[in-house]
Amino acid sequence: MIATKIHFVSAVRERVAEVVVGQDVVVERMMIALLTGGHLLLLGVPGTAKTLLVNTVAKAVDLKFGRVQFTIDMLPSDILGSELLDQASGQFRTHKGPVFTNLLLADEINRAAPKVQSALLEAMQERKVTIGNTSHPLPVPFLVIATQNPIEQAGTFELPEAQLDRFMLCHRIGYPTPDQEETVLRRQLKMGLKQVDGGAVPKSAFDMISDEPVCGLDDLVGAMRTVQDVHVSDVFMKHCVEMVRLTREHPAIELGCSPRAGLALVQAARARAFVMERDYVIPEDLFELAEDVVLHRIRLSYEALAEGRKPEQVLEEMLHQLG
Amino acid sequence: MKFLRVIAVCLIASTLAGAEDAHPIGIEEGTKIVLERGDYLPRPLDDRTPLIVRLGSVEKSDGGFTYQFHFIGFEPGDHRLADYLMHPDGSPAAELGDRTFHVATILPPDHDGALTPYIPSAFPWFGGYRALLWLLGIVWILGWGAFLWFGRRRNAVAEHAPEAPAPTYAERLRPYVEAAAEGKLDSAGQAELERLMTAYWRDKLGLGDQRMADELASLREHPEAGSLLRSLERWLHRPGGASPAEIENLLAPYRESTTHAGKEVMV
Repeated sequence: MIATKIHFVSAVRERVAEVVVGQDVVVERMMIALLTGGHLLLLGVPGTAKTLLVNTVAKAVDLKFGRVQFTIDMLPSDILGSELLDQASGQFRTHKGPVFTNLLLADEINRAAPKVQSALLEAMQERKVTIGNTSHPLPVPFLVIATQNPIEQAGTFELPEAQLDRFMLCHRIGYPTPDQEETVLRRQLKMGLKQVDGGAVPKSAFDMISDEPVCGLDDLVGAMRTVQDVHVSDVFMKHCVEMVRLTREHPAIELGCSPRAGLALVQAARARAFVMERDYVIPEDLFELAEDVVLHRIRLSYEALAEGRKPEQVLEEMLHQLG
Repeated sequence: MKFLRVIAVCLIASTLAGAEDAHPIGIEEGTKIVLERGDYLPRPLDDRTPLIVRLGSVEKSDGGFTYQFHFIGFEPGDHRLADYLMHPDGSPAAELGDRTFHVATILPPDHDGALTPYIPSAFPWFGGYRALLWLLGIVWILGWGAFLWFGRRRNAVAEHAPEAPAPTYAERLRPYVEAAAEGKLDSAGQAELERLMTAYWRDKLGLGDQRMADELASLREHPEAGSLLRSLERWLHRPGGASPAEIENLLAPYRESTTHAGKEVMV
């Protein structure tokens, strides 16, 4: 079963590799989010191909893709939509916002005011939007990939823990290796010019994204169904429960993981097992995903912060207790 | 006894003062007197005066003016008020006549002026007050000595007591391995067995400073540890698990443990 469906993953990966150099782990996390219907938060400095990656995956899977650049003056209706008075007919008609898509890229989500963040996060949780007096279901699948710049914090509104909890995964994107960066430069040199209306502009990586999807919605749904069949042993669930328990009892942690963390661990581990061509999860899945599932759900105590400890260190302590 | 004497003297003094409107020597007293004129002033006094009079306040009242006097008597007897007041122009206040302050002694009239001798009473317990203080001092010093001696002895015992060594991974593993071999290990035990196996090999290969995920990847590349981990995963996580024979083979090396050079090791 896995073998017949895994071409979905490899096809998407190959398509992404045509445009983006490296970032295999990010692609894997995006696949996990796609396959589980969980939302993904990407933390990374500008220029690490976050938008390009999301764009490429959306086109590769033939999903409706929307992108919203969050700013401080944005209103909830800019995301969700609103009712407009049609002067010709004298009737209100619903204008659906960019949230009505399969894959929504919420760029720099922490730049929007909390009411906009809340509006989006409610849509993420309930998968429906109420405009006026009418509830509108969001398209299926619906996935939000949000980005945050971890460096610039001026003029931003940090997402509170309760809202961060809605993201199944929070992945920290690093810089490419020197070899990968050299490959990026070489690719750029070969891109050439794009001629438009008699003028010309140097091509960017976005111009290299093929409009031809490598698989369709049916393939995605089939793969999602297969992920649901991935076997999760009792022992693995004990490990997950123990992991969550450790976060709640660690002396350096003020706020431990919610039950959602355990659910996210199991779901994400299933999807990772599928991506790794297994039909059962193993502890490696837990250890690989723990950082993305747990780290944004815990808050260190004041004493631990005063001692200069970092959440990553505390998480590693807990993982070493676990194995 | 001395305390009782003081109370008795006070009672006598208060009885005398109350009976004759007398005021005791050396104690400031106060009294209100109504006079016809309101402009009397205290006369200047020298340091040999038998009475000090201070004028507190003058208030107009129905019969004239009410004077609030404060005075201290130094000699017993009657002291004329006229001798201590004067008119504003300095002339004597002769019209006050025989109005007097009566100052009385609190000692009996036939007292010879001798001081009451101090007669210490005998301390009734432990042979006297000094003996009691000595005893308390000795007990206090002995108490400190005992405290220090017992404290040092306890520390010495604690220092010489052999510390129980922390159980090795092999020791911690054994009950789980035995239970697994007998097929009596539940899923919680299996999870603990897997954690201990991983920790055992991390410890054996000297890992521990890397990310856990990286350490696990290193273990998987190790010929012996990697084989074990894969077998464990097949047994504990794969649908269908492993047969009893496979489990027996997997656990066999961990069931045969020996003690080598005082430390338990797996073979």
